[in-house]
Amino acid sequence: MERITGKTFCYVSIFLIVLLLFSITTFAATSSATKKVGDSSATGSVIYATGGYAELRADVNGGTGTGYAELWESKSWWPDEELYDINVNASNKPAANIDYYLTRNNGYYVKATGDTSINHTAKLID
Amino acid sequence: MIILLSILKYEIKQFLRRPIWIVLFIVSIIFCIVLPRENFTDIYDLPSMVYFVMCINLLYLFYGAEEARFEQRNYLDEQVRNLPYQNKYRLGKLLYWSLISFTYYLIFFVSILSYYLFYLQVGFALSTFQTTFVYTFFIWFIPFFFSTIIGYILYSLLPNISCYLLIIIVWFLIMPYNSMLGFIPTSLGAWLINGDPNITKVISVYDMEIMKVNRGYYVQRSFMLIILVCLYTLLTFNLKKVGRYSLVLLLLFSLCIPYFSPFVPQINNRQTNSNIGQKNFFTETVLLEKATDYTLNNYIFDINHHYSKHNLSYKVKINVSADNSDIQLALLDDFKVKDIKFNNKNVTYIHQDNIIALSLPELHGEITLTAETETYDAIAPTSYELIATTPWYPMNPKEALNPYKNGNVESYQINLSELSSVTTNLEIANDQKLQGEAYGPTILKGNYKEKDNYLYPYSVEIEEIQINKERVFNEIENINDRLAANLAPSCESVIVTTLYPAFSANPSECYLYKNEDINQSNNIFTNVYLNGGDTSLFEAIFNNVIEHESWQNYLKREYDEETITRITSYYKRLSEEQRTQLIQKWYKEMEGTVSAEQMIQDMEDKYAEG
Amino acid sequence: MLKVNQLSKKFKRRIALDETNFILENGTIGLLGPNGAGKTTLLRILATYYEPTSGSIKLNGKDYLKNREIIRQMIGYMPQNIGLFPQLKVKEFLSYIGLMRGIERNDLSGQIDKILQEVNLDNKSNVKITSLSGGMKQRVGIAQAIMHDPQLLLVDEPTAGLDPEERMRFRNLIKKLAQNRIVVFSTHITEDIAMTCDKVLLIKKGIVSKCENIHDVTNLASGKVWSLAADIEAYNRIAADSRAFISQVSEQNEDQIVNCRIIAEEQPHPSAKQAFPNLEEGYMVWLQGN
Repeated sequence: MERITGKTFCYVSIFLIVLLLFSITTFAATSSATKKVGDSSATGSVIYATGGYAELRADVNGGTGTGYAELWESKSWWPDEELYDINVNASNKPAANIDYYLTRNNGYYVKATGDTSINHTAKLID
Repeated sequence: MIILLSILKYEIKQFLRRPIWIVLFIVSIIFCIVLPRENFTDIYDLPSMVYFVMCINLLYLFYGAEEARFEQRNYLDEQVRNLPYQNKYRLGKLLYWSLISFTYYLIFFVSILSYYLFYLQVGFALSTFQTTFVYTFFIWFIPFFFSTIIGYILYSLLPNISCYLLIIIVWFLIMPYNSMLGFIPTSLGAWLINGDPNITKVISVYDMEIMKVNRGYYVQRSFMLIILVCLYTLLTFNLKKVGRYSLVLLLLFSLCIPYFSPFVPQINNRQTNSNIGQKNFFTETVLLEKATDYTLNNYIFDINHHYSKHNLSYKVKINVSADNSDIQLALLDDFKVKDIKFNNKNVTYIHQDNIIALSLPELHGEITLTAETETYDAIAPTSYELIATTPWYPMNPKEALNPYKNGNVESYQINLSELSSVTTNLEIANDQKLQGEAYGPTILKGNYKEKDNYLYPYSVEIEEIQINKERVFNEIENINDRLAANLAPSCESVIVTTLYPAFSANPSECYLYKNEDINQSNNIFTNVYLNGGDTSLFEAIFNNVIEHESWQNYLKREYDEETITRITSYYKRLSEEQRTQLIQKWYKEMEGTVSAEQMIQDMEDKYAEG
Repeated sequence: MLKVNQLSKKFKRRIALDETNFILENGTIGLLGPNGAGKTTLLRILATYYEPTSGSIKLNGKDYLKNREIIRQMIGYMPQNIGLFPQLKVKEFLSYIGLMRGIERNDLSGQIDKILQEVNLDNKSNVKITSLSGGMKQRVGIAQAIMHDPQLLLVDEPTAGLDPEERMRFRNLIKKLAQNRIVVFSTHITEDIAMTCDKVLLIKKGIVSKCENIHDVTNLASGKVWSLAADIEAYNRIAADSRAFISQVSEQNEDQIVNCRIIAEEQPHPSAKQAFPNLEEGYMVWLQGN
């Protein structure tokens, strides 16, 4: 049986915990997210609001089916929260938008989700 | 009992003399409060501490493994196994671990509450404290305790360094990480979970809905307790053969619990729930004039709401009077139809794209429809919002598309499985049924307040609703101006929703979403002004987005290149005033259902006018 | 009286103990055998740590199978690796074990003081176990095994790792303890047996044979032990001879002569003289004979 000293164990556990906590707060790309056909979702990068309305919009770029533009609030250390979403449909509603009041100085980002057969973009325009 | 207490005493002495764990535990509590301190706003935020709670569970898994390693390093198993009270020693160890994890939990919980109470000065009611305590007891304390046992069992079975790797893998699988990433199916994962099975938000009139521990939690935690205690006992206790076999039987029996338990710990599964954005009734199915030319009346419902999940089922009887045998009914796809009968005889039907198409054997009679849902977001475990303007029940698609213009008064009689905390636009009759006439039945379960024809969630102030209502009326006024229309929903009564996130209205009621952060002009436009049919071109012109890439792509699929070029180029050439005139014309004459040819023709004429 | 009847223990297919029978009375009984012979297995069965595959054991008329909890109160067991709670002080450790042995709380303190004196640890009662020397830990181990005045004391290789003084002290302690109980003392060091035991259980490959006294073992080598003062050449020849086994060697440097004791059936060298065997030689003959 290999022995682990208390010290090593302590370092390993602290390292793991720190690694975990850091991994939680990492995110992807841009302020708009384009979900291609075949993808289940795409996530935009975090933008920081200073208060006021921002436009959340979804645009169909091709394909068929229904897609959503989801507005998320990013919170460090905590799970992000979905605030709202709007839906678009390739057959007769290729674009949708809504103005959302971004009250806090937190980070916000968008997610494009929906049918894998639809190609659409979710945008948050501050 | 005295022996158990003495065991606790000596184990605590040893714990206090090994300060590494005290330090790790205290540091973890400090980290868990200091790092996310800016996110603490209200006591309802506690479930959001999930990442920290997962880390603490990892710590406890390691702690359990270290306890086993400590015993092996010090040859304690052989030492104690021949002692007369060895089983009491093993039981004492379980009690000791529960005491350690409970003390930790208590310090952690009290520290956070103190942070809210004294630093943030957030006050809360006793009932809130109770809900919070029960939630954290089941989601924090019990998992910490279980993690210790799991860590101990894993190291006992695999007593080398690779056990720590195994612990991390097990941790990934039994923590809420699995709910997020779905390594194992969530239906199974929710039973194996050693933490919060409902990591995604549960929207409800209650801010603390996600913290309400349902029967599924009790069953799941008991299930885990049986499994862990059986394994621990088999590993450590001195048992006679009969005892050992009984435990194995109990273990096998408890493994079957998830298959026959009517209660489930997981109340929310984001992957299967309908999207929150299902705001307006929407269908791609072509609605036929003939198929929607019928009347429905005398609805009789039997509704059952199940606490464990987002479950609701009902059976409804409706009198139908049609001119044609083929009819279309609107019903959201979230409500799965079990069967439809006409005059007690089964009829075939197709339910897709929020429309039920069925062929009636006779033109007049009684439709009986049974449906159930697990995915409709507006149904939470302890509350729900079923509102008259949404097709959660079978209605005419025309009414579903525009309940304000096409709503009809029908009579309703509703039997509910549970009447407490129910508010409705119908009357509550003496025999505890809901009945009356309305444009549609609205049933709200939860804590709502009523004042001056306003019905609203307990957590919202009436001033906020008035501001919100004003904003909606301003939007309506703006749209009226642009369309030269004069729609004015009476809003005799205003109902504020938390689960159905959009504005809608029928001739007597207005439904406002409680969140005032959303400007819903588009939503109001489509829900109140448009009347079904293909209005997509009209909407694009109204919203000034016809030149947008998404619309251009859309047009390419529907029309030839020349048509698109003509629409776009004429649109560009028209002045703002000319555009408004055309919009008003198309709305007045066609309620927006303008075709491309008509649009080009009208634009050409308008442009020629100068 | 400890009565062992047809006792066997199998680990999967391996036979660790094969149909063992013996009866033991009060006194020190040495359990002698090479490494892996089954000494620890036998002791663990006697200590109730293992359950036998078949056979029965009775201690003072009580059957092991039917009265497991009572038996546990009647035995004291000091395993090869003593299980200690390192963070507890000596007195705390003994109290803890005493409680788990079912000793009345009121009697515990006096009992512990008495035992600590007996094992000569009364001045270490408030010292943490982790700070004790190896020998002291052994004494704590024996203290926990005898604190409830057991009728059967099982001691597994207790002298390994002890310095000569500690070893001597330990042997004396064992001898004293054996005055009114059965002490089974497992070791592979014959000197321990010679100094402390009245009877011997020889064990090899799971097979146990009992000798009523030490001489029985010693006598196994009677007429087979030779002493010789040999030159290097003769010594090398005997060492290479498979029929002879050199049990003891001492070198005389001045004239290259080696004094040695040889175990052999026949005279290994014309100058070899017959010698009185010792226990170790008897044990060696038994080992080779089986």
